[in-house]
Amino acid sequence: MKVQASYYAMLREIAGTDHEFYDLPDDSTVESLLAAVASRHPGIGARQKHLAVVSGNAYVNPGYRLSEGEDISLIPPVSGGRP
Amino acid sequence: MSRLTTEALSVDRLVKEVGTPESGAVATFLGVVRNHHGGRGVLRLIYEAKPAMAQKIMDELETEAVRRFGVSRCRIDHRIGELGIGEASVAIAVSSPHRADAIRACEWAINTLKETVPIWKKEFFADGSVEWVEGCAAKPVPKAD
Repeated sequence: MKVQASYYAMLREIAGTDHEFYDLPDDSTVESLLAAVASRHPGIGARQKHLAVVSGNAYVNPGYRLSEGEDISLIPPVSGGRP
Repeated sequence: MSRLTTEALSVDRLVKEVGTPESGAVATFLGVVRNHHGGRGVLRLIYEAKPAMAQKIMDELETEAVRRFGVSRCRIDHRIGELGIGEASVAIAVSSPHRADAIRACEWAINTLKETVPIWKKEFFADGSVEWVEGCAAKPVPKAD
């Protein structure tokens, strides 16, 4: 199946594009998408532990099952800030 | 409803929006662009958001602040785009019958916003370098029991 990965902020700059498509086996999860992204973009792979993953406008877990044509956003760390 | 905007923020406007007859206190927070980070000079910033999601989570924070602290109203505005030193990037106002709840809710709102809202900050340093600020992994708004 085909899914779209969308990149924001520093991830967009690392990938050199704001979105791209991945062909994955049916019933793939977010985890398999992240592995595919990491092999295409090692710079994103290196940050994988600190990324959040979003479907629509909601955060999803690594075990989340993807649907055909779904747009999954990869979200880099937010600013956090020192209180 | 929260607001994500490229326009200058106004605390006065938010204070009016949270006003209710039963409120005896309004706590406000204004985040402003500072001219240094990690000992290096900063000239300006760019804030970028995933807009619809950022707005949705800021709305959630407004609702959750009211539920969690029993305050009257909470309003949050965030600016995006390019900002200079001293310009406001985020404004929060919380009203409540008594001050303690408003102050606590306002602090919770800004701390939680920083961890949950998909907004990123790109800093332009005086030495010519440019860096995205990387704090913590973004996460959903925690719900009180």
